[in-house]
Amino acid sequence: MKKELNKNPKDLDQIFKEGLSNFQVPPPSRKQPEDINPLDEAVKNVLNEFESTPSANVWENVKRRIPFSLKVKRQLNWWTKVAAALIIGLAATVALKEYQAYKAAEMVIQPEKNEAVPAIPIDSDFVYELRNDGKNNITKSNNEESAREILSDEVVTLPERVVEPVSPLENKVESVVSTLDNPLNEEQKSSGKLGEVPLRTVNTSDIGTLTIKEKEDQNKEQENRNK
Amino acid sequence: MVVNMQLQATFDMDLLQACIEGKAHAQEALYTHFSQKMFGICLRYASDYHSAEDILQEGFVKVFKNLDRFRGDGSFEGWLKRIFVNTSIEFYRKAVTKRNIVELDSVFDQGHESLALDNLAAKDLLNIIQKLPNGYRTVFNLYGIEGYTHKEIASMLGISEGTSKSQLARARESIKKMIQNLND
Repeated sequence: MKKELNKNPKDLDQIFKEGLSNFQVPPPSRKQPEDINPLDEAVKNVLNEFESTPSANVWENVKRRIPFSLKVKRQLNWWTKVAAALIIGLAATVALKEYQAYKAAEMVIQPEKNEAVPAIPIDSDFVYELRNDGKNNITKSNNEESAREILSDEVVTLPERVVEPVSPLENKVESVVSTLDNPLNEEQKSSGKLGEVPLRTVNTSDIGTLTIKEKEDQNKEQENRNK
Repeated sequence: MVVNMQLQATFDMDLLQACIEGKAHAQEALYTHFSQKMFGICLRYASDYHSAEDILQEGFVKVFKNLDRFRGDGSFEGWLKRIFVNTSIEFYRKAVTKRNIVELDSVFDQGHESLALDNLAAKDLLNIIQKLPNGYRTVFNLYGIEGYTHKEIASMLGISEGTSKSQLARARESIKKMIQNLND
């Protein structure tokens, strides 16, 4: 046979043709004779080709649920996906830009804040010095620099900065008044002339957050009392 | 014959294309062409006429929604048939209760008795099949008529191979008894 094959390759087809002409594909494993049940076969023969007409309303119900066009539906689905992707991309871009803008603004603001911090007196709520100019005018100084300017002629000891919760306003007024020397002596009182008012350092913790107007009002009240 | 088959195939492909494009007349033509045959399958799997109609309806909705997925590898009718069998199995899964599935390891009838099926009309036989419990009927249909193996049936129905075998044996027993009663 080998010789024949070598001589003419076309013989190979002939050999296979002859050899396999009667060959049949074996049935599926479960269709072995022992698996074939006469009942199954009989029922299959009767019912396999059985047909019946359903009622007309089945088609009506089916028709209502059929998509108008699968092509259009699929295309719509595709465009919906594209639109969703675009929206997500757009939203992400906007969010990124917002974030970058926020970061940039933060970077600009930050040095200003740092510079501004020393410019704002920490002790703005506190009064370092009260000065009576002898005309019932009280000058308030609320930071160290201005206090030094106002009191440049005087020997002043600035108090330590005390940052603590302030006591109720009335108590503070009383304490302030008590710490001030009476600016008028008996003679001045009787003559009605105002002498020089000695300056005195006031502890800021005793003064708290009194405004100038409040302080003036209180001083006037005190003077009236003294009178 | 070959020419006829080719014509049929061309017709089917044209019909399918028209259905995919949403042409109502094509969809109705497809339904009319296959509904009777598919309803026959549904009747075998359902316990009654109305359930069979429900299966048919669901099956055709599935068919029309997935028509564009038919690649034309096999026959269109075969593809349709698989959809209806699968839809029937889904209905079976919904309807089935545990009491319908009874493990029976030892019973496996191999009796080759002669059956007087010739006297029975298809409708009588269908009635007998429909009277079977869900599990029996489904396994009998899948094994005896569709030709699935117990392994495949077990996988499709979510049961063990043993259960599939026992359901088939009981189904056969029940069918035999009912046929004998009819003949008597």
